[in-house]
Amino acid sequence: MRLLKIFGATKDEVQLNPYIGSWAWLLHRLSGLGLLVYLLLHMWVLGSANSGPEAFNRRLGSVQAPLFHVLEIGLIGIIFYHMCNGIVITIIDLFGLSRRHKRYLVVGACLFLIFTLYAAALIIPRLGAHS
Amino acid sequence: MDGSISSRSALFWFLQRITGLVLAVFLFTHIKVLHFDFNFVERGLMDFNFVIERLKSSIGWGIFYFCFILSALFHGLNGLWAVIMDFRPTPAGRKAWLAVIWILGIAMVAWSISTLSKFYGGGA
Repeated sequence: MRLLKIFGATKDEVQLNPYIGSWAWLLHRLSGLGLLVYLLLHMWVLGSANSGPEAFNRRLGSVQAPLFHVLEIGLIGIIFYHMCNGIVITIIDLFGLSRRHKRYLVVGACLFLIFTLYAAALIIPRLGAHS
Repeated sequence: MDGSISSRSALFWFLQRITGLVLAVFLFTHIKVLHFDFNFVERGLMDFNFVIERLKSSIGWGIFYFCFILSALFHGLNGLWAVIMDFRPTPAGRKAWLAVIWILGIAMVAWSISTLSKFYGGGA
């Protein structure tokens, strides 16, 4: 019930102000929460070194299965979205550019696309090596 | 103003921006080295020896990752706190969340110091 209210409030936020700023805000939140979960999982995987090299190799090996190399592209995309959008927010905040924030958010989104496509172009050709 | 809630949140707002910019540099380096430059087709999959070789090549990597972990945990948990505060928790809920965040943060710092020391301590 409470969770429904939370989703409702978020939906209202975006519907009341259905412009790029609201979407950037929503995506920044979702990507941020996702990256926090990833950070904890990442530290859990690497932390297997605490149980010795064999445990580490087993766990690190399991997250280098083909599926994970595909997911890696999505992860890098989420990171670059949060990074580009965050840098744009910081620039807008520090230099008082909020009147033109839409333009800058679009620039951030374009940078995110360029970086992510570059990452995909590097990683996709390597995927065939798995088979 | 000193010690009041508003000056404290202004400081945390500022720290969120600073750690964000620092993380952009750390994370870009991390992604470049481990995802762009590292090619598992040529080098094979990563394993313990790969990590140890890279980290032991310079204590700089240890310092890099320690600062990286601290700023990432701060940025992530402070961001989580901002999200929670937007849902206007009750005072009791606030305290409970704050406790969860602090415990998680301290535990993860301890966990990562222990992990990093495994790669620098002795070799195994």
